[in-house]
Amino acid sequence: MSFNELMAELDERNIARRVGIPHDEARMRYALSSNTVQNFDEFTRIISDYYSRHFTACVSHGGRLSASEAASAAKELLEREYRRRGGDIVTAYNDAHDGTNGGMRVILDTISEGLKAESVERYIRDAFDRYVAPNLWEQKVEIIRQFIVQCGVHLASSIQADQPERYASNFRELIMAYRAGLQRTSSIFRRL
Amino acid sequence: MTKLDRLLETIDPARTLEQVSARVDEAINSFRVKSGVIKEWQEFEDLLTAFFRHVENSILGIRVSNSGYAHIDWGRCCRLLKKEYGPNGEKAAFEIVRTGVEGGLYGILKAVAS
Repeated sequence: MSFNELMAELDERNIARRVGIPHDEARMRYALSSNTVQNFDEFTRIISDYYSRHFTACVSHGGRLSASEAASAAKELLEREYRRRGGDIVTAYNDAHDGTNGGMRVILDTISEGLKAESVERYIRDAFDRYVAPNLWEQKVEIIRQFIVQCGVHLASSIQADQPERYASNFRELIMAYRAGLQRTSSIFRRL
Repeated sequence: MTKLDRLLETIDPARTLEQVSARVDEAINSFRVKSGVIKEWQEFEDLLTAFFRHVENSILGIRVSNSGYAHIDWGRCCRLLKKEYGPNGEKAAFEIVRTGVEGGLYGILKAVAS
């Protein structure tokens, strides 16, 4: 168990290579003949077909979902995403029908991003569990100890470096927050 | 409705914006790429130039495949990338496409189109 190995697993390029790119490719491969739909049945048919293809290509790696399973899963995902923006599945349908706010393209983008986010979340959870067993307190303390040794110098005023136990139960949040900071910094560097 | 009303309705900025936006969406939908990752600079330049032309032709309703001056179109494309990704926009975009971070190639195409 090493903090550096865990950080390498959680590196954004690694996650993109293993998870993100296949999802983006699945989205780009799906051709839309029209950016609008005539009615709710057509809307359901397209989101269901897209969800099924994307899910098969990137999540289950084979087999097809039944039409009703795919339709329900796609609608649930869209409902969830649109609720965050103050809308619902009807808002999504209206955009698809009128071609507003990106029309069907953005509807499929939303499904794609939702499935990708779920996959990334599962990948991260798996990485954490492989490096730090959820039931072993000593491993949590050890990963925090290594984290403090490597990164604590920049956080000296806020960390009790000699008490890793104090932070062990929050090791995931601390490491994810550190990773998010690195990601933001990398993004800025890329643009300079 | 008078001729003036019809003319004003035809050139209504909101309507024009909607039409352009719809054409951009159609352009993104109809552009095909072979792979989500590009490792070579020349391939990146060629693909972005082709995409830039494809979107522009779709907006203007032109059927020709290119203007004949790829370097000019690439320069115009670079200006868009600099606006979106900073002073070294084309290099930042290439790095994003090469590694697949920040939405990868599809994210770059959407940014150029928007």
